[in-house]
Parts: sequence; structure tokens; C-alpha cells
Amino acid sequence: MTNSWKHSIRDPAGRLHVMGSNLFRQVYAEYAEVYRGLLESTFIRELQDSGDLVQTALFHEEPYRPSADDAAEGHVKLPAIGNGDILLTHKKIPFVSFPAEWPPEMLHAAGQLTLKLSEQALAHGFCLKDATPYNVLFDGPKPVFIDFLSFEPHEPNDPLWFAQAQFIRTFLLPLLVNTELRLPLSSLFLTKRDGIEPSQVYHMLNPVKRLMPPFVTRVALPVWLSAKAENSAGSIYRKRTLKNSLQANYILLAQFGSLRRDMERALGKKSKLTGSWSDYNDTCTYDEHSFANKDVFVEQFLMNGKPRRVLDVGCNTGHFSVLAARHGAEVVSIDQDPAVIGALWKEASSENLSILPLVVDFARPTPALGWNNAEYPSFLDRSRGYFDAIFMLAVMHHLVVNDQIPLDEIMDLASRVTSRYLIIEYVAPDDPQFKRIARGRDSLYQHMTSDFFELTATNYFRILGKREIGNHHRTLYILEKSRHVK
Amino acid sequence: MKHLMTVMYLCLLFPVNAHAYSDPGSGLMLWQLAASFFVGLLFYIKRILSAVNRLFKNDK
Repeated sequence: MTNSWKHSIRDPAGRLHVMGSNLFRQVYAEYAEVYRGLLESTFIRELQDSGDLVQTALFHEEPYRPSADDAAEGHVKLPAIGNGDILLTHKKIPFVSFPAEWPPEMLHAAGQLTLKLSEQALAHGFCLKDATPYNVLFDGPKPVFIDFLSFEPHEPNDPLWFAQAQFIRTFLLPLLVNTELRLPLSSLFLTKRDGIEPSQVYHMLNPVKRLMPPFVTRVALPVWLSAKAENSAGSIYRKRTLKNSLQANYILLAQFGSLRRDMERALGKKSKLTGSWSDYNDTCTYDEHSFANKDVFVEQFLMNGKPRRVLDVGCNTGHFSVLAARHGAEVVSIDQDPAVIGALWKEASSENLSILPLVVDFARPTPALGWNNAEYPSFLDRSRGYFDAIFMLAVMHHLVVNDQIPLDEIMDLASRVTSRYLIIEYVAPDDPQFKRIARGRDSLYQHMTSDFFELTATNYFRILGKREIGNHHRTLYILEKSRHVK
Repeated sequence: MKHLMTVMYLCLLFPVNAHAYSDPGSGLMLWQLAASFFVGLLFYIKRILSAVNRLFKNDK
């Protein structure tokens, strides 16, 4: 990522700078005192120690003028800051992901972290000024709150959390329409920055559902009340204070508790795995012996190749992602089915595996989004050169047949994403799975022989090893990127 | 059928009526104010109940 990305441009208190591999957060002079104090508080230190808040440290307090000598001597390049501004550093989260790529389970976890931090901040005289999934990233499967400047001092007698409406729009309602109405989260977050409005959800619901909890309080009543709010102009947003700070605190904690319960209920309604791939392990054509061969082949590669960062494309249940993580690799696992990604996230969380599962279709990866298309980089921008190994196991034929991507294109893209290895499974056109998805168009794919596969692969890679795994001549390859390929 | 439903849902994402100058978040804010009022009442009701409870316990 370069500094041309526009991170955190909306925050009035500061902005984020990406300088090479370093992350700096500039805090403007008028807010510097607050955040310097907050950084030294035990509350923030404990949040960082628990991993709930990104590691943050004070870096520089004076205006800094980078000189040509610094660059020549290899010093850390710093952004120029104004008089009185302070500069903080953040630990970088290994692989950045966005809500459009999360299954409901991850959105739920990010929402629960936001509520937990809101409650803890309240006990220390702070609150969160915004509540959006973009304030959370995942370090492996663990959600981490990254927006340090979201904390702001809270007036003890104020009973309202202004960010609540944003929390409902960006966490609760997306989760509800996903679990109740089966609307994919990606279709919401790819088209909307700030979630979904109650009025939009209202039109999706039948009259009975509108009166059922939690829709009646989170959707129907706000919609009916909004007609009244039209006449009150901005007066509903004026600051309100109560005489009793204990009462204000009680009201806020009740609001957080109610949101937490609604989030739990929304996720609870999500039925068991029902995605198109969820039963893949039962229906695919592997016999036990072939699968064991595949397992041994991949494990041998992991032991000999020792990849540090693996991208598992079309990971399905994540069997090989787990194998790679257990061999010490940091894994990003992608699949287009949110059900399998949600299940893999739960497994990685409970077993503390370094796996970040994401709902990404490799044939239609997440595009660049946001202002100037520069706020949220595309999946491929984040991936290129980041991984030293890609797994494409039982994926090639789906890309060739379902997505109609020529093999040469697949090899070309894989060679741009990996910095070294590609572990790929060749599936012949006479394989039952291949024939099933080809739906009678077998003649279109007769050229996909193993010779053609190897010839195409060697335009970008050299073959380090291959093994037929005894299942309709399926063959696994270890490919290494050729030196001439950039 | 599933895809058709998805397309229909997506169509619903786009508002039928244009509210060019309305504030779509105002309903949520008004509801928050109303809910806060009732929870605030509950705070005092709980306090009164616990005071009454204490009174009876002391009597015993």
C-alpha cells in the first residue's frame, strides 16, 4: 500500500498516514492533550494488553521536517505534522479486510467488540464517537479495534450514545437482513458505506414481521417516528443532560445491553450450514485413500517449503488452511460461500489458529471502494506479492468451467499474487466433478489435458514436484514462480 | 427462484420515494430518546422498590 490511499480522512481529530511498512496517526493540536492523556491511562493499556485495541504508542511531539539525508540513511520516513500536533504509531494488522468480505459471524464479533469497548470506555469517562465495522480489523480470527481516535471524553450526565443509530445501521440491521432475509452482507457493504436504513429494511418486511421483535423497535417504530421527526428539524439532536449521572449511566448501560441481546438473537437465528459448498466433503468424489495422498503431499510441501504466508483459494471447509496454520503459516482463506467461511472462522477462533477466513470469490475479487476509490484497496491490491504460497486445490476446474477463465489467465494471476509457490490440483475433463459442472459441454474442454496444463503452467512457473493422487488422475503440483515473472 | 428473490431484495435497497432533504437517521434518534425516557423511569422505580425492600427488612 502506498500513501496515495485515503485512510481515515473523515475524522476531525486526526488522520492516518501509511509510510512504507509503518502506520502513523497524526492527532491535530486541539485534540493532542486528550489523546496523550488517554494513551497513558491504565484503561487503554489494559485494552492493548488484551489485544482488543491495536497497539499504539506516542512517536513524536514536534513538527518534523523530513530531510533528504534521512531517506539516504534509511531512516523511517515520517509525515510532516503541524505545530502542536502529535504523531502516534500503530502496530500493523497483517492482512486488512473489510466488512463486505466478512461472514455474519465476523460482523457479529466486530459488533460485540464495539459494544464491549463502549461499556468499558463509559466506566472511565469516555465513549465511542462512532460505531462502524470499519473501526475493526481481524488479526487472524481475532477482532481488533483500530480507531484510537474514536474514543472521546463523555459528559457523565449525558444519557445518549450518539453513535447508536450508526451501530444499528452498520451492525444490527445488516446482520438481521442477512439472517432473516438471506441478503448477502457483501451486497450491502459493497454498495453502502454507512449500512442500511430502517426505512429500507421496513419495505423488505411483511406486515407481520414488522411487528415482531426486534424489528418492531429497531425498524418499524423508528420509521413511524421519523415522520414526526421531519417537523422537529435539528432539535432532536440537541445535547441532553440529566441531573443524576447514575441515571444517565444506567440508561446507557441498558442501551448497550439491549443492542448486545439483539445482536445475539440475530445471529442465533442463522440456521446451520446451508451454503452450496457446505456438503462438499460429503458429495465430492474423493475416496479415503486419495484424500490421504493429497493430505500427505500438501503436508510434505509445508514441511519442506516452510511458507510464511499462505492464501488458500476456494478453501471450502478449510482442511488445508488448518494444516498450513498448524505448520506455522499465517493463512488467509477465501471462499465465496459465507457458510463455510463462518464455520472456519469459528474453528480458527476456538482453536486460536492464525487463519483469516474471508468471503471472496477469486474470479470476482473485492474491488477498490470508497472516496476516490482509494479508501479501501481491492483484494488483489492487498494480495499481490504478500503471499509466498497459494493453494488452489480442486479449484482450477471451477474457474475454467463456471467462470470461463482461460487457464493461462489463472496462471498469470496466480503468479502475480504469490511471491514464490503455487500448489495446484489438476483435474482432467473426464473427472466426474469436471463433467458435472461442464453440463454436457465436455467438447469445449477436451484440450485441458495434463500436457496442456503443464505447458501453460511453465510459462509462469517451474514444476518442482507432482503426484497423481489416485482419484480419476487428479494430480497435485508444486510450482515455483519463474525468475522472469514480475 | 433464490436468485430472483435476491434481485428483488436488491431492488428494495433503492428507495422508492426520494426524500431529498429528510434525515433518515431521525427516527432512530427519536426512538432512542423515547426508550431512554422509559429506562430512566425504570431507574427511579427500581430505586424506590429497593428502598421499600430495605424498609421492610429493617422492620423485621
